[in-house]
Amino acid sequence: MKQNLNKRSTAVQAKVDAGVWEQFKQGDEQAFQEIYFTYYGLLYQYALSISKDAHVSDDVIQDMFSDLWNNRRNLGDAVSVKAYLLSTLRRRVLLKMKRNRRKQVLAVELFTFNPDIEFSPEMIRIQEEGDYFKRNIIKRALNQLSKRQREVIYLRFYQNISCKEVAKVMDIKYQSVLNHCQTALQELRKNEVLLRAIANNQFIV
Amino acid sequence: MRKIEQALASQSFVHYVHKSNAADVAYWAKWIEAHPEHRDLVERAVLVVKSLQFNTDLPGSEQAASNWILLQKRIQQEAYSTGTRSAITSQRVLLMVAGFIGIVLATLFWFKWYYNPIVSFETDIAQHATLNLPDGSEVRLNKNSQIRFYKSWDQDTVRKVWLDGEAHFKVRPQPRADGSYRRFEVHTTQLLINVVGTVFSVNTKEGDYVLLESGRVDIQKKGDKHTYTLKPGQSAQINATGELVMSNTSTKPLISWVDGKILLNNNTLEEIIAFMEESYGLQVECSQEQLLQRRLSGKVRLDSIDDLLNVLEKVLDLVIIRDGDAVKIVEINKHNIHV
Repeated sequence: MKQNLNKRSTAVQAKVDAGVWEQFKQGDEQAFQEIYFTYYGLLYQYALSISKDAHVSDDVIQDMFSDLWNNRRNLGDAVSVKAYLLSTLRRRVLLKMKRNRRKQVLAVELFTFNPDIEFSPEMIRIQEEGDYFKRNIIKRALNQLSKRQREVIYLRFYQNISCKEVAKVMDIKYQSVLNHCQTALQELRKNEVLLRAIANNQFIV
Repeated sequence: MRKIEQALASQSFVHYVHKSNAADVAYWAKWIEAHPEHRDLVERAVLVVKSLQFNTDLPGSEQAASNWILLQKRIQQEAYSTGTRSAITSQRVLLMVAGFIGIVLATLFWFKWYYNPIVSFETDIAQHATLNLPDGSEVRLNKNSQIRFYKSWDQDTVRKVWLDGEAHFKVRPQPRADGSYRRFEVHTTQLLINVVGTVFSVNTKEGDYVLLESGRVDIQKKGDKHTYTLKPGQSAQINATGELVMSNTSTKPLISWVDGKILLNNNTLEEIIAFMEESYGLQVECSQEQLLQRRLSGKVRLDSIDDLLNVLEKVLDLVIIRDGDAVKIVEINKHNIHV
């Protein structure tokens, strides 16, 4: 059973339906477990992308699920469980980072509390496995986008949620998500190095 | 045009590229046929969407099972503790907190009056920091450097800091009633630098080095009575044989760091690479000899080494790929795009 759940959690497309959420609200531990294992991997990846700290990510996720369980009776109907969890997690990670920041005596740089998601070569899937150079070109093209654009692209294409859900998670207007997404794609389309790499041309000596 | 942009960002177009929905594939195939003038744009869009495919092999999956067990334990404990907490225990907690605060206050009081520790600030390999010293003087610490000083400075004593690494000082002059100035000393392993009110930088990385921008500093080699006085623009350095040498121009090469910027003075890429390797511990690979002779001048803001890499790439028309400490530099070679 557990192994089965584990396997499911690795699929990015993973979704639990509204029925499971309803059962969880009624206090069904089985449903709670299903939600936990379905989304753990995704949530961990998101928390790690924002905080870049494995401990913080671990803590925040445990806190979040613990609170979810304790407050299950007061929870609303989640239209999308995934978007609900991602947005809650985002808020909590940012809050935690803010608090950790305050503890430091010497604030070296100004810190704006927007997630600064960085893409790593390992995250990128391309046809030829192990093409280090190509992955790096894609990674870099993505990391050159603005913070907001990066997060929209990350949520929409990595976490694979709809633009409406992205708006909810980032707590911005739906229209802004569309705009960020369009301008990000436009910008990537202008990136000759990226296009040539994907088109598989021998463009570099 | 705006409409096309919207359509190219839509889920339907993503489906077309990934061939995951027959209706969308058919729709777009038809659309492209009907709009040959947008062929190039669509081809580019296809490539971009192709690049946006990610590994779903998520790092946290293995730990889900072990963390689930921890979570269950925690939930059980919380349920237990909220159920049994009584009025008496919370009163006790309150008392304990009060006692604790008392102890903290007493300790703070002691620290304030009797304790003056040496504080230390360090920067790591990719960090710069600006500090205000207790007297209001300003220090900019370059990467990989450390500065130490007493936490509180009373009115009369000499102001003293100890430096290991590279730093830029702006010292505030503090005149005394008798017309003299309060001393400010910078100690390195080999040098004692005596300051009035002035702007200068010190680097202890390879042979202690001092460069004066304005004002006046007196320099003494430790264990040596003789004092050297630097004028603005002059520098002094301990050379390989351990002697203190003064010079009128900066003996430091070309690339120097100040105010969180580096100054490039018609440096070749080769020199810049040497600088990056030395200062940031990067392993730079550049297989094309002719690239190494390209030159660059100007100020580059340097919050991280990636800033410099980005500038090099844009200005010198290169492709620079960084993976941790490994950096690979190649030239862009323009060809046409074929899907």
